[in-house]
Amino acid sequence: MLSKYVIKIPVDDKKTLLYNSITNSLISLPTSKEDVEIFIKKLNQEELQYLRKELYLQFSEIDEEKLVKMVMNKIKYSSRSVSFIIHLNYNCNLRCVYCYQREIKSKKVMTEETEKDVIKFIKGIVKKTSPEQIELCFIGGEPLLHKRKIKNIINGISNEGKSLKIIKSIITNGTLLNKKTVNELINMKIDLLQVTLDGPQKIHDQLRIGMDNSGSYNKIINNLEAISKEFNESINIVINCNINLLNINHIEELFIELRKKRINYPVFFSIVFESRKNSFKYAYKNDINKAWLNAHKIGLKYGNNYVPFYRNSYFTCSFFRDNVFIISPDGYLYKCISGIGNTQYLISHISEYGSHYYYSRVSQFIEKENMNSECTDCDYKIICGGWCVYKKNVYGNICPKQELDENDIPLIVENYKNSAKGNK
Amino acid sequence: MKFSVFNYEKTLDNNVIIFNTLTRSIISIERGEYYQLKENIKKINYHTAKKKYKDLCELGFIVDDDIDEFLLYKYWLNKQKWQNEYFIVTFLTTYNCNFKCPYCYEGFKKEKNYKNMELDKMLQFLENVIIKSRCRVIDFNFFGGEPLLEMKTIEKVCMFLCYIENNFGIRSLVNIVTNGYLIDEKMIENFKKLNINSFQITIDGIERCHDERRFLHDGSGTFKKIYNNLLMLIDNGFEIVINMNFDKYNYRSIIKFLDIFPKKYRNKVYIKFNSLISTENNISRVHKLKPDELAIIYKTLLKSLKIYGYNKENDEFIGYGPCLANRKNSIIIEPNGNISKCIYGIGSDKFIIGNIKDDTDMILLKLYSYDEDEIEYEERCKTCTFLPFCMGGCKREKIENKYDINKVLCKKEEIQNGIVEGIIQLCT
Repeated sequence: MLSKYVIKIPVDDKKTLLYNSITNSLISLPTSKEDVEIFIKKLNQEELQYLRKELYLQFSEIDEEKLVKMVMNKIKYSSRSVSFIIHLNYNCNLRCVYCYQREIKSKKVMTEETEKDVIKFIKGIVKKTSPEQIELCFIGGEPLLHKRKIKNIINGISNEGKSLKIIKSIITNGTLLNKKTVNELINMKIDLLQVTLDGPQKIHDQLRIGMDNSGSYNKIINNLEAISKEFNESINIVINCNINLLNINHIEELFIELRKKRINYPVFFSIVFESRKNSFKYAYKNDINKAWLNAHKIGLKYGNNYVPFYRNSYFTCSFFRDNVFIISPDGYLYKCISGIGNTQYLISHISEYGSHYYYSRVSQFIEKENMNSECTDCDYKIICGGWCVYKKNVYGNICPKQELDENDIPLIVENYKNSAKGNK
Repeated sequence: MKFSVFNYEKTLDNNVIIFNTLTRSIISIERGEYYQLKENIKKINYHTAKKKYKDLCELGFIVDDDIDEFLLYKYWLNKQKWQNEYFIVTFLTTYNCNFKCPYCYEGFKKEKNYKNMELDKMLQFLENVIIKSRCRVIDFNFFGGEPLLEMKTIEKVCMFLCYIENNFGIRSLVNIVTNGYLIDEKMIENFKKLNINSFQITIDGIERCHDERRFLHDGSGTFKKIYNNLLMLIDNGFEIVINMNFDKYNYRSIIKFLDIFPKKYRNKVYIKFNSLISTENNISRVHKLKPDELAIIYKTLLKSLKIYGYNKENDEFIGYGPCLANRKNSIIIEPNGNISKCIYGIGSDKFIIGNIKDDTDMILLKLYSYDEDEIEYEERCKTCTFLPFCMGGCKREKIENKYDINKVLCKKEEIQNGIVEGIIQLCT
């Protein structure tokens, strides 16, 4: 019998996809959704063995609920990969209308002393947990206002053990990515840059505004065009597009403009929600309709095949993970990236890491029961994990089942069809 | 701010001793000062008090008002359960033993009719599991029966551990749990070559008493030989744990032993007391202590450690975390290749999760999902001072007594009067 956490998604009456939410993998079967179980019964031993191994089938020996709990706990407490999300500053050369950091009055920049503390903190954790890899993600404000700090921190950590893999990324608005800077970033061996574009110029410039009220679109797109032309393979870039009610009907125009400029970096989408009620009038509230699905469908049309599914797996979110550290410019640890600067998500100062105070604080997040009684029997339990705590704190208790049914699940079919097309 | 729910307090003369069962810290405060603090604690802000009451805060005696300590307890437990740096292997080289101790929980039934697995297959299995577990260190324990009856096996396994270190950079800590009888000078030279780190050897009291409990098949005593071997191991620089199994008939003899043991060795050994555990294999041969008896004896034993100057940090008592069965990265391999989770359940099929012949991925799945049943803590458990010692209770005991494994098996009395009071005796 199929595992409860394998979701059957019909493509047509002769084909069904099995999405395995435990392993986040997908297979297709040449049968209708109704006949999946019959089809599986007819499989040979070797095929059944494969399905068993990949956790598509229920085990007679292991209770499924135990298995799910095990998968969740393993991710929660694993120290094989440790992530550090480092906010270098709260200051920015843009003042985007929906920015969740607008709530933060401070324009604080990390001091040299804190930089040293951060290096010490990271080294201490590496020593204590001996991970296989660490991820360093630099973010702000606008982190490229402080390239030196990025360099200092990377250099401070890089001499830690040869076998340690360090993956480095920067989340930037893209306005400062001139050739000189890109060269510097390549020298720092940055693995990934994330740049935001929120639509075609007329829309983007209403949302992502410079300090002098000018738009930021031209700067960013020109930078991307130049990087794509001159640096092509030597640096990886992904484009983030924050979907909201203002830009949702202009996604196609963005892709047209990108292709015109021969910019082919993958685009992924985020949904803009509010940091408190009514903080941004174009934000999605409880109901995102099919915005997420539609945006991706347009992307697929333009050859954008970024698979977005992981973005909705909330139980693997930093809030519940022991080895994700979100650091503020003043050296404090938070448990939610959107909650930076908000005491509700504050743990302690980095210098207090390992103290009883730190443990007593962090346990309140990691051990928080995020699912309610209705979640117990839900097939989407693993994907949802009880949903985003930050959103629930703004909007109250919401169940995202409908959202997943209308967006993420059909998107699996769209992506599948697209990759099948490619294979032909 | 508030006092931790895990504080256990005891007034001694003019001081109040507080022991925290979660952080395992102990502190003494002048009586008047303590009661004054207790009265005002609600009004004091945690952050402003952090400096003034530095020790009390850092050692967990005082926590911030909004901290739910039940969540802190769960975090503490889960971190230990899921730690993935160490992979613990307990390997029984044989069920056979040159001793015939009546109280042995492995029973006598094990001696006949089993077929040994092939060692090469076991090592292949072990290599797969260790690599897939992605651990950094192997905590390897030879166990039995009497493991030294199979010295060839030990040699081969140690060579394998050396190969793992050289090829995958995963180092090993090797311990042998033995009755100590078969050790001689030649063997000690061999142990050095094989990079053995430590030994655990059982002594149950002074010679007469020990020999009544731990004897060879022909009934002859074993104390003299073990005792000499023990000193020889210490002289050769090995780390030693002396395990002492007690019940109400031998604890006085154990104390006598602690008294006569040479002073110069006392700070070189760890002492471990084990109340005799009765399982379905030995129940008729073990005198089970009543909670109050156990408590008094345990307390007396711990106190004598202090009296006779055994100064080596005995964290067996203090740093008592979840048992082997409760740790995810822990397996017990029996001589027939069966993989078990509970050391006291050896030979019983209730704790077997598979065999070395099985698919490694499947074994790991079973290993990691073992004991993922959520214990249903009662409300009173969530604020119980002794929760970090109880942890819901022993699964084997629950199974053998036909108790619901998801329910808490409360042993408050034993923990309070035995362990916690004992620790206070040891530390004050």
